[in-house]
Amino acid sequence: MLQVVKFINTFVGSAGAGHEEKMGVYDVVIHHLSDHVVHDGIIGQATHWLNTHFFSEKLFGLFDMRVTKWVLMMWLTAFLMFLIFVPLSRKIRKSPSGSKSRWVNLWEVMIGFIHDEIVEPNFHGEYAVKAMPYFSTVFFFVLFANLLGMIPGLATSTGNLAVTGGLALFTLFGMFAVGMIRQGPFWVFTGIVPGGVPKGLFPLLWVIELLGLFIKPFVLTVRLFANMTAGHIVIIIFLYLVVMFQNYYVGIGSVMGSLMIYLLELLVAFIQAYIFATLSAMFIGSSMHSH
Amino acid sequence: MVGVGFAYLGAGLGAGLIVMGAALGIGKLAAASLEGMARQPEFSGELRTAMIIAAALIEGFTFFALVITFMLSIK
Repeated sequence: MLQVVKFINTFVGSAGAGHEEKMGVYDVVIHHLSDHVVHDGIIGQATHWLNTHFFSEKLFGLFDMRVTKWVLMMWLTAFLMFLIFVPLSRKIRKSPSGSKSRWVNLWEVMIGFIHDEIVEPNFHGEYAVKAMPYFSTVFFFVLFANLLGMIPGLATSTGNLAVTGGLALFTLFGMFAVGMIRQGPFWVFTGIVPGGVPKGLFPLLWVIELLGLFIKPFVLTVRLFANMTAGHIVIIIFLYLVVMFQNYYVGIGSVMGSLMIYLLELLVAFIQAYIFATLSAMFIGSSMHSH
Repeated sequence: MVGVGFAYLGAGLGAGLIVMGAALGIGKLAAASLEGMARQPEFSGELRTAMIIAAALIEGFTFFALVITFMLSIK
């Protein structure tokens, strides 16, 4: 465990210390994919002030607590969500018969989509109402993080294993919590194996199902991370073709290709937010009833 | 240097094999679900949802493999 933390800290701490004059394609790609402390511009100065005054100490001597690129992007995502959804909920509450504002209707369409397509098929009736806040939060957080990453100059915070792993840990926690509340505290020992299984097969199936319980969030983690990362790598490499060929005319094709992948990535941002929320809802919903 | 060359070769061949497998899987999935949608258009919404989820599951394993090839080509 300590080794893992130190390994992650090398990613967080090492980059951004000194810039090489000549960067190869791998350096460029890794620079975009790895987390590091931002030094340039107003944001760099602000985070530098934060880092030197508040987060310079290492927590327990292990964790590097400095504000990095992705931490900043997550804060921005959270801030944006507060900015949009808190006034929105007030507006919706004010007009119970339905608002005519386009801004409100835009978000109501998406919230309705989450309710009808993601939550309702997995949680039925009154439990759907209870489950809505979490899944709409997850959906919009992933969506905003993905879309903010598509703005040039910003970074995708979901293209980081720690962020997606944290989101998936909530899913794991949700599976255990819902299972234990709905099916009794010994759900892990009795509830995860489908009913009607012969007694001899029970231990074998139990081990498999228990492993599956942990593999599900792990796959969620890797899927979101790899989707966001892969698209960005392709965009960078398309643009980097200009530097590789040392030719202005390659730029026309490479920018067009990069733009095409960019448009694809806009689609992927929505699809991945949808997939993440749907699969979370499926996994958590499946631990509500015994099979 | 020979080892590095083999790593690059492995990464390239691996990426090709991964794409073949994933394309086969997603292609079969899309073909089947389109056929289902054409036969019973009233279920096209549910079929689309199921198709996207299954495609995401295939894609997840594809990305596992692609990350491995990416690491091979970088080290």
